[in-house]
Amino acid sequence: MTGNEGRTALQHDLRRGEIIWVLKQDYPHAVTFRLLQLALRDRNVPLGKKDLEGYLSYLEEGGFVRCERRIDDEDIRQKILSASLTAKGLLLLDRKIEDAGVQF
Amino acid sequence: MKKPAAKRKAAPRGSESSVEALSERARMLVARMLDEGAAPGTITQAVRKETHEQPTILAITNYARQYRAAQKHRSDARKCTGLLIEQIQRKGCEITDLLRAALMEAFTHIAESGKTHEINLLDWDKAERQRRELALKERMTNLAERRVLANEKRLKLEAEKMNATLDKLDKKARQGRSLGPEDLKRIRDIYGLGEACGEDETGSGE
Repeated sequence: MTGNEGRTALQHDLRRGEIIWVLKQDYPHAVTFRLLQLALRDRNVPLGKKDLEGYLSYLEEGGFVRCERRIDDEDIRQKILSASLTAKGLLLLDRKIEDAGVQF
Repeated sequence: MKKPAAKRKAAPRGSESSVEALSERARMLVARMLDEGAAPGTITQAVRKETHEQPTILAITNYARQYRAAQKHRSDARKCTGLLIEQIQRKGCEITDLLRAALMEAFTHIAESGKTHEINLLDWDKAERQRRELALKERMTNLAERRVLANEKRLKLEAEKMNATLDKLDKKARQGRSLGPEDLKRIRDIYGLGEACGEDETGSGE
């Protein structure tokens, strides 16, 4: 891995960590996709829809977040409506478990 | 016009006058430390240590003001959402987590758009009090309406009973049978006539 690639990977890990941090504020409740995007923007971490969806999908696969989706007729794909932190996500935030793709 | 080199050197090397100019990692650190209630000076030191960037205390202070305003909108929205859901649940209805999130987003939007009067908790309480008063008045009106309906029903039943009695008497009359004192009493009862009136009528008829 080159230095640049390493930096980009670290950036992704940190962004995932930031998403978990933001979702913690409303735990155990869900936050709409748009509100999550706005909360990140307020923290000076503006993310595009596709990027945020990618990060949430990764976190969901690991069981750290739970997403609610619906099929978007226009794009003919699933759209994330809301996300909430899971108990496992909370453990990750408390550093009781680790994930190579998430950093705080 | 070119600035003198000495002036450019006056600011510390790499110092940033706004948080937006910092790296993403530093910006994340600033936001998290603000969440934890850290002072601008402490945040500046932490950023220097972690990322070797040098934000000014003024930059952090300015950003903190803006950030706290946004956080307050969110916390107000959270309170309003909680209050609203409590009221809805008191009525025995259930709210899904997605609907809760949507309500929270709507309240945040109201707060951010500057229509704070719409999200003011005192106004919310006042509105709730007014709603309760209205509900009480509505209940009282419903009770009065029910009473009127019950009276109407009673009168209707009485009318039906009267008609049935009159039909019976009519049938009796059509059969050529004479109506006895009992029958007259029934007619008096049906029309709410007193003894004297009945007697007069009986008397005038004879």
